[in-house]
Amino acid sequence: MNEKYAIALDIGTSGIRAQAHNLETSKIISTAITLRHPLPGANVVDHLHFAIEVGEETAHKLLINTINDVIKNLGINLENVERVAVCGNPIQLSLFHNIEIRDLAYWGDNVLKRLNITPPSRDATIVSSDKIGLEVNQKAKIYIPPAIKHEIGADALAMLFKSGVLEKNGIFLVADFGTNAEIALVINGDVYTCSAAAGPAIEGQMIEKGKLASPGAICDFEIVDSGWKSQVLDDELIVKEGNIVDPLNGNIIYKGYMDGKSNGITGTGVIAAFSLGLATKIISLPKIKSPDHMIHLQDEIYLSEKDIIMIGKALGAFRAAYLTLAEEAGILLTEIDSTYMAGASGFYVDPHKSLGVGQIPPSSQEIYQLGNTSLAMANDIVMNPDLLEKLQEIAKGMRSKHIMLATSSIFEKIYSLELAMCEQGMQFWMYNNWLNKYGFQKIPPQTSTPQIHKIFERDIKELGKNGLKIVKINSTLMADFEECTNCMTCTKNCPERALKMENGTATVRTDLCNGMGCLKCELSCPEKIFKFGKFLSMK
Amino acid sequence: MSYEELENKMDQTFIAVRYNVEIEGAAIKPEEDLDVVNIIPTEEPFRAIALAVLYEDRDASLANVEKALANDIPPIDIINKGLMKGMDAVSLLYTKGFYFLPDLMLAGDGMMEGIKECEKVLGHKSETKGTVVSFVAEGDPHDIGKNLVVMFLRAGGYEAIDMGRDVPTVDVVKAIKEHKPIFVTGTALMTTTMTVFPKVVEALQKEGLEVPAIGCGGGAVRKDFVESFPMSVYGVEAYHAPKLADAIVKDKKTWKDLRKEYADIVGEFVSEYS
Amino acid sequence: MKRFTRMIYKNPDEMVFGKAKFPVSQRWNIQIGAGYVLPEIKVAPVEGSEESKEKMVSECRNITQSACDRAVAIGLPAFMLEQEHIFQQTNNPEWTAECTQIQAETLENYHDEYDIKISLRATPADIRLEERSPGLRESDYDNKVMESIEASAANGASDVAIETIGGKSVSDYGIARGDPKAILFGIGVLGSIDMEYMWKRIVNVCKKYDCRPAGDTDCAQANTAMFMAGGLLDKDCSHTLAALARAMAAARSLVAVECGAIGPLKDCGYENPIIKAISGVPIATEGKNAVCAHSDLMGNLTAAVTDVWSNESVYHRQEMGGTTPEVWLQATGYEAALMNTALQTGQEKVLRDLYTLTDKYRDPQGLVLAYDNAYRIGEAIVKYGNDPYLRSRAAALEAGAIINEAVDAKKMYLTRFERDSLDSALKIFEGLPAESDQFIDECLRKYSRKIAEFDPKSYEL
Repeated sequence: MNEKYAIALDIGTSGIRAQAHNLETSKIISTAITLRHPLPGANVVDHLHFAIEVGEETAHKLLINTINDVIKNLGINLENVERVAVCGNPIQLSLFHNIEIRDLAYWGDNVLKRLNITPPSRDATIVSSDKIGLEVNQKAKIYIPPAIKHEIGADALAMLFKSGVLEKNGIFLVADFGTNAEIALVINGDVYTCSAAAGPAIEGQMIEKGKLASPGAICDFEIVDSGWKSQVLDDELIVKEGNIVDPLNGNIIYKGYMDGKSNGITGTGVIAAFSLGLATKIISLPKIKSPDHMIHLQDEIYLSEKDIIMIGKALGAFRAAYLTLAEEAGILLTEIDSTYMAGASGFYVDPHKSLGVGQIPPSSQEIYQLGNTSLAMANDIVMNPDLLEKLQEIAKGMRSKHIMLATSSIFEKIYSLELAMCEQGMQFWMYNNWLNKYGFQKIPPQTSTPQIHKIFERDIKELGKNGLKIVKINSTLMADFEECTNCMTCTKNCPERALKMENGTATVRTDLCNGMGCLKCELSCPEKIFKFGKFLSMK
Repeated sequence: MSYEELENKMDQTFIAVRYNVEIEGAAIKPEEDLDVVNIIPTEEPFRAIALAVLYEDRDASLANVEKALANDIPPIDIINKGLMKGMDAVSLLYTKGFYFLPDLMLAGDGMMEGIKECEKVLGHKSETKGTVVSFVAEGDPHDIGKNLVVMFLRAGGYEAIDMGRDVPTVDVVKAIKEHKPIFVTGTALMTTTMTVFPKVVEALQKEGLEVPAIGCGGGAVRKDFVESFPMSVYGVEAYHAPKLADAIVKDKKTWKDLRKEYADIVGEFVSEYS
Repeated sequence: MKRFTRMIYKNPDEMVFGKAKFPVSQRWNIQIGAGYVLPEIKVAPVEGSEESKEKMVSECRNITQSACDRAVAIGLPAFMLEQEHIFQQTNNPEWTAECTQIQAETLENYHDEYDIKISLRATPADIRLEERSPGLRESDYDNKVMESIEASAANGASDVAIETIGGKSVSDYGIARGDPKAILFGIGVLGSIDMEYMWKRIVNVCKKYDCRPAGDTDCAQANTAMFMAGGLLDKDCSHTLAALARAMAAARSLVAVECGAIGPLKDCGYENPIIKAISGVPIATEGKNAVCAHSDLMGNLTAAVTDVWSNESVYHRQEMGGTTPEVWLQATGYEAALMNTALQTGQEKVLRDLYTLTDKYRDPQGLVLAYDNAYRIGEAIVKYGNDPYLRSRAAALEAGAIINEAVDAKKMYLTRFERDSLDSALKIFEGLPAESDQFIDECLRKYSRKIAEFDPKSYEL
């Protein structure tokens, strides 16, 4: 067997996805993914922060080692790999490429000047695999697609390219929902973009019982009889029927197949619960109107008022973001012809619920769920390497305007209304009145007849004949602390149980660790000798 | 019996109850709130000035103040008896859940416009409870939190020096030297930028400077991080800022006291401090 | 066309149920508004009957038969049967013809046998579609509506009524978004323009037959606001805004009378008391005996000055007490009997006032329709009687003033939602241009872009 292969890679904040192609038959052979990211942290800024504080080289190596593990699981002879294409947001691609990342960590000129940082070019480029350290044929070429601009990465290019809206006349809203949502409003080819920091609640993180999509996670609900029926992911990540539970007290009304088998709730699950909670008036922000102020789900999983406020704010950030774009572009939300939801969470969420909770404009009539567009674009590039040049042209020629939400006075006004709704219980009619008072458009009523186009069965279009393999990340970093008294305060305080300490040698599971957003190990050390920055050596 | 006679015989609630009003309360004019009545002055022109702030009417606020100044009303009285009273009422309605964040922001604008006008006549800054320096961490553009803090501080009677977003540490130190604030607030949304807080403290210590407290807060900032370096206190909500400042000014509290007595000082349950 | 610029009733106390300034006489020896109240029964054909003409005809006959049986069984001296068309009936005028004919025959048999006074009202459906070219005017659907009206008139209907939908595209937009200007434009301007187009033709058709042109209601617009407003705790549309929409609807529905409609005005027009005060025509209304069809907040108040008391609509089916035509005619029949007893004993004004007072302060929507307040709104309308825009706006402003007076007198309390939306609507209305042309220009510019379904050509604008 001397078939030639190519690999498409998507480096996402919540995991790595790889697909092997047979270059002769042009067919996908297999797919391998991880369910976490190897770098510590819950979001991409944490990954970035880790790289800056602990070391860019360490971060790069951690990432590449994991990618090597993933592609080994594709079941192909890696020596026969001719090319690799990769896609992801600018931080992930820069970590992969091992180029300057600090320009992405700070806003404004002050830090860049002080640290003498020159932002690197993030144009399309081809590098050889030995430069990156990928364990494929060392002559294999690695294709890295361009960022559109400093703030808008190849991931945003992918969602715009794959939705096909750049060449169409009309008004389109395209969004990749994640911890950091990339949102673009395209008006007859003119592109308005923004990046909404929704926070990790949208991926099920920072929610007390939340978790990323993985076996045992509750991912959706529907109202059945007088209770909520949950949908739970099984070991193969297939959605299976869970229990019907009375959300007010947790009483089981009906036992489903996944009874006793759930262990947390995903971001889409939280959105679904939020949507049902609002519809049934169990949630009246910022309160939950049950005897103990909790929403009870199956297997003693629950949502607290704090969780509800978190998800409310995350969804509020989306609404404030697209409304800001519409106001900046001078269009009405009702004029949007189609709405495109990219990414895994934009694929698995029930759009009817997205409409109701404001994740997408309630007037969205045509809704397309695109799935993972980064991986799809990487697939396009490996099958047609010339595309890279064309993508560079598209990126260069794009008439785009990036709206920095953090400095937009429109966004500030709207987001303060979102905060007032989530935290203070301001009513929606008042929210609309305020929009009117500010001279902005009101949020239109919800359409009763949305057309939902879900083209594929899962967020990855085609898994290949050898199917899907889920790869466990097992990366660790070590550090020695000579003055350690072995009091074990650090390990006890680790919320993810990612830390081990033996005779002054600390070992951390990097994929489990919450990283710079947590630092409970370092902060709790009574001797003040634990320094997270010392985690440099790889096992 | 005439229609009116019949109508006056009736106890309406015996026939029909407007449960929406029962539950939400009847809409009243803000100045008719039982507590607000005691705050808003009855004497003109102060009443009109206070009401313009209460009604979040920037233009009216400015016009009222200009008119009062033209009539030789002392600017200090306009501020203390008019503008500040209006803002006190707004803050009160906010804590009662009748007013919301945007109300505060708009009313605050009206108040500030008026104060500026008064200060022009006064020729100097008006007397406040104290000066506070507020900044957003270097490299961080997210200033909504800081804007709220500044607004609450001003509403609470403090002179808040707004340094804006992305403020280099040297500038923060310079401002502290210049203004000798009773309190400093620093905010950050990104984990990458919150790391400047300990650096600000370090720089102050190097220069031998000290402030009673630096309140640190914002999106990614957490209490255990803030308490890992001295001179700081973790601020949970923007509206806590003037209460912390009050504790410093009135009761001479230090950053150590603020950390210990946070919930008592802000007067409510704070889960982060429980 | 002569518009109303003065009130026919000289004061509100003159108005009472069962009596109108201009009673209507119809075939089968019936008078309406001539000293007694008529109960009305209306039943919607059962699902499936639209499948064929034969099924529909037999359904109509059965409904009529049942109603007549119960009417004589409980001794009703008079009643009205209304047939509100479903789409297929109007879209196939030959269905209309046969259905009306069989109903008329059935009723006539009872009239002949028992001398019971009977009225047959035919209400073709307004099946026109604004968003489908060529719009409301001269489309196939428009022609079908007119043919169906003619078929009703020619085949024995005592009168014809309709609920036209002109302006609905814009008012729906306004109601869903709380945009008072769009509501005023949709109801007051577009609604009035389309009413004129429809009713001049309807009146001409009726003249050819022994059939009266009765009236039109703003069911498509003001009732949409009322249904959206819902119960006291709902917040989809504020009850104060719904009250203003109702006042504006009076200025719009009055156009039918100005074109020659003589009443009784159609039942679901809650604005009818205002039009009765202005024009003196008899009206049909509905309230507590229409709970089978929908919920409102003025179940008794709407009876105060009624002439025909209706059940609105109910599916044709079996209840424990009989079929729905039987049961609900009995309900409206006994209520009419109470009113007629009051008329006979000279107590009608007491009963009228009691009806009114039970609901006057339940909700702003009822408040503005209490007959004394309805009269005030009527006065506001006739003051600007020649200008549909100005008179609608005046009606809304007067309704707002009525609500504010009740609040100031501490007779009614509003929530913040109701208060804020009333204040903002009144502020908007007060700031509108004094010239109709200017207002229409502004609205055309604003709403033809925003509302895809809205087609100015349908109104010759």
